[in-house]
Amino acid sequence: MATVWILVAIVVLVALFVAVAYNGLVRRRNRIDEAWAQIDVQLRRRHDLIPNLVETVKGYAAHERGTFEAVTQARANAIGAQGVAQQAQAETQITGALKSLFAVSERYPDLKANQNFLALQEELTSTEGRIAYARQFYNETVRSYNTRIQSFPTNLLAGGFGFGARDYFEADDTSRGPVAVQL
Amino acid sequence: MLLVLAFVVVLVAATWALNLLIGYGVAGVIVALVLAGAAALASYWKADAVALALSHARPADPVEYARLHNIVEGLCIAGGLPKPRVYVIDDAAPNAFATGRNPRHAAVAVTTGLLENMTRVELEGVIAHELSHVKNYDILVSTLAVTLVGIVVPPLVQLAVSRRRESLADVSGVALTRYPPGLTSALEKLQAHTAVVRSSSRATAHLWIESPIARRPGEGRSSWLNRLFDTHPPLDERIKALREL
Repeated sequence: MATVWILVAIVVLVALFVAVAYNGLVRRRNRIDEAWAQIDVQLRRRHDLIPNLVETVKGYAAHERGTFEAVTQARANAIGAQGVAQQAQAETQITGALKSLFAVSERYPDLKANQNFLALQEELTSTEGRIAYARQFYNETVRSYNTRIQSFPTNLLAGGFGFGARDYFEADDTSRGPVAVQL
Repeated sequence: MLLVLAFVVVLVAATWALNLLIGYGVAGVIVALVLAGAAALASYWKADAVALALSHARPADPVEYARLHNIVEGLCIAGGLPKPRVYVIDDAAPNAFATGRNPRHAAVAVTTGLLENMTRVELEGVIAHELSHVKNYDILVSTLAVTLVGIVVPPLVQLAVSRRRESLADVSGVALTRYPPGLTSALEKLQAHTAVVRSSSRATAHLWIESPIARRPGEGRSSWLNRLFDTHPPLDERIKALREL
């Protein structure tokens, strides 16, 4: 009789472990998806801000045509980008083009005093920060998830339930190097 | 949760021991437990409202304080936290604090002096420190520490806990911004500023980024005896620790 009870206890404990481990993996996997969506939200926010910025700067520095066109073109590329690699490249292009635009605006004191321009500059600067933070958070969630599915004893059931390792968000080679600012 | 459970066990054991000494019977134990539990629960539940009211904080306008709101939002994304309520305190002394029983009910308050004196990067360092208090559930820890005072844990232990949580928040704050010089230079500015927040009290001292209580004049390097009574580690030690990261 005692052995039966011991067997029952072992089965219950194993079932409990599987349930807890499975739920933990699902929670972590959903967190990764959420973090990935957050990056998209911030990128879209940046795309939405750019036309306003270009319009504002145009009013003060109409003959800096090349700079606007670079920003507008980079935005169009980013919106039409297919796949993660192309998207990352287009976003790097936007970052570079915006840097030149803000560098150009330094030469126009009236523009720098414009409240609308200052507000847009603040929004874009913080959006850049948010994109970086969102990627940082995404990588953290991936690390936590990958560590969990690769470590014992969770690794025993991760494969069986179809939990595979996820990839980190890595900056491509162009965005690792220094940004070329054309003046 | 484990912490709360341990807390209750200690509480029960302590009241039991006390009861054996004095001899009020089981009813005495229950009354003491209910009272202590109610006090702990009330201070835990209302920690944010009390701290904000005591420091005369007002909600930060999202347009007027756009930069502050943006910094808080950015760091919350980095930490995977919901955005807390943001408050401003009209006070020339640069300081900040966080409160709230959990990340869902958190609030961050900064003085106008802090906004005027800090650059964007320094402000990020300070806010990251405050959000780390929220993320590490320090309000819960300090509430438990305060409630335990007078039962089993002497006040000195509570102060030691507070100092440890400050150092922890410095380090986890830097883990959010990935930029130690931001917080280092903010702490240096706090050190240079000797003004002290007007509407603060010892009750909320442990929440601020820098101790809001005036150091006695002429007190340079504090002796180990003085340090036993501080809520925060000395600023130069915190700066030194950050430089080593």
